[in-house]
Amino acid sequence: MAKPPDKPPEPLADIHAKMEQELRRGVIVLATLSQLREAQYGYSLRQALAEQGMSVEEGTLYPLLRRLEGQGLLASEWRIEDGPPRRYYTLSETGKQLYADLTQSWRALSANIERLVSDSAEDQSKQRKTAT
Amino acid sequence: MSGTTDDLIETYVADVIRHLPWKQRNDVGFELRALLAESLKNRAGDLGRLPDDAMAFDLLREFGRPDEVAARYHPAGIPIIPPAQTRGFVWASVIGVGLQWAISLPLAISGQPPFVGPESTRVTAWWISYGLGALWWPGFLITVMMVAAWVGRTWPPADQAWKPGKAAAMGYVNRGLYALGLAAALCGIALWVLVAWSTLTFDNPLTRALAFDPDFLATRAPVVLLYWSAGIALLVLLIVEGRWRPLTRRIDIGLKLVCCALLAWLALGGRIFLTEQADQTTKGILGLLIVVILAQLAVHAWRLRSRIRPPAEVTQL
Repeated sequence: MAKPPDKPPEPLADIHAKMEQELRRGVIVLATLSQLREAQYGYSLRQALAEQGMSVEEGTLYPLLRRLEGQGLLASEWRIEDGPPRRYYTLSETGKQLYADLTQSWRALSANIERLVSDSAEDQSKQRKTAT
Repeated sequence: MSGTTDDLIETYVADVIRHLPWKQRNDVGFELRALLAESLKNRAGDLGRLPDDAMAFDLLREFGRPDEVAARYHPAGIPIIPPAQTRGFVWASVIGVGLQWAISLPLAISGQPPFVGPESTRVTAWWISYGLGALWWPGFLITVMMVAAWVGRTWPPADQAWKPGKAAAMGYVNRGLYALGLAAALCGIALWVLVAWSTLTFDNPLTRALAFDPDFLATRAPVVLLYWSAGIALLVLLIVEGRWRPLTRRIDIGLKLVCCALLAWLALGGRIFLTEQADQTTKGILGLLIVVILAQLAVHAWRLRSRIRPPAEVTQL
């Protein structure tokens, strides 16, 4: 006999939001590195990511840039162009190597997940046909 | 941008950077202030109006609480109390503090140590001395964990891979240690017989002090020797087999229970030594032994209880 749940279940929409956030959190670093093959400052990077459908909260992105720099993956410098002084970030040599490695890992992972979810979708489709 | 929106951003940034290391503060603050100002300007531009305080508030709220934002600038830290040990730490703290209170409060109420001052302030005096003083224990535990974490980081074990725990946990016995135990048990019997023989053969202050009660020698002593022999037989069996088996475990538990009963009988069944001092000292030691053996049995029962058992849903199938 199934054990009754200890507390009322969380609304599906809330669970979905949390899980999606987890998924996105896992790929923020790769997404950020991908846009830093050319030098960007915090706000321009955020815009670049958002334009490609990967919006990242500012409160997450700006500290992340500093952390990646602290790990030696990014290099940065202050520049004054058309506006106030801005700190521009770009991939360091180590960052380029890591980006290449992560990209490979991402492609393999993505292909595997795609295969898994496709199989699952086919199974569901077959079950629906059998039921009707 | 108005002066007040600038002030809001300035205040917010100041709140963020005060959580950062001194060397980082100015650089991060300068960058963050510029980024927030640009973000606010663009947000206002999208809405087709000038930035105002409400808009700045919204932006800063969305950015996050200053302490949380500052935490994101740091690499992931090392917790002093690892999550897996939090429960144990809480229990150890609560039990340690609770024990100190349970001992010191009744003593304080009963006037130990003698209390000087109005009677109504006795509990208050306890609280500001032993009551609050008992909180040294959680602090001590945290210090120990900090030192342990530092030692673990500074000198990490060469091989961190999982290994099957201690040999004892797998049921194997340390033959060398058990052989020493056997030797100690045999020496104990020899000493016992020697003392009994000496007290009956010689007459000097030492033998008079250690003289056994004749009733004890006639009735309880043979039972002690019999029990001792059973314990020695079990030790020999374990040394020969090299490991515990369910039967030997059951025999061991049985012997421990018998031992408690026997020790209680020895202590309560009359004199053991003729002299009062030797008799009382020995009975005190016997009482302590009973507590130790009962504690061993309790630990054993706890370990049995914590073994993996099929869940109720499985047993009902």
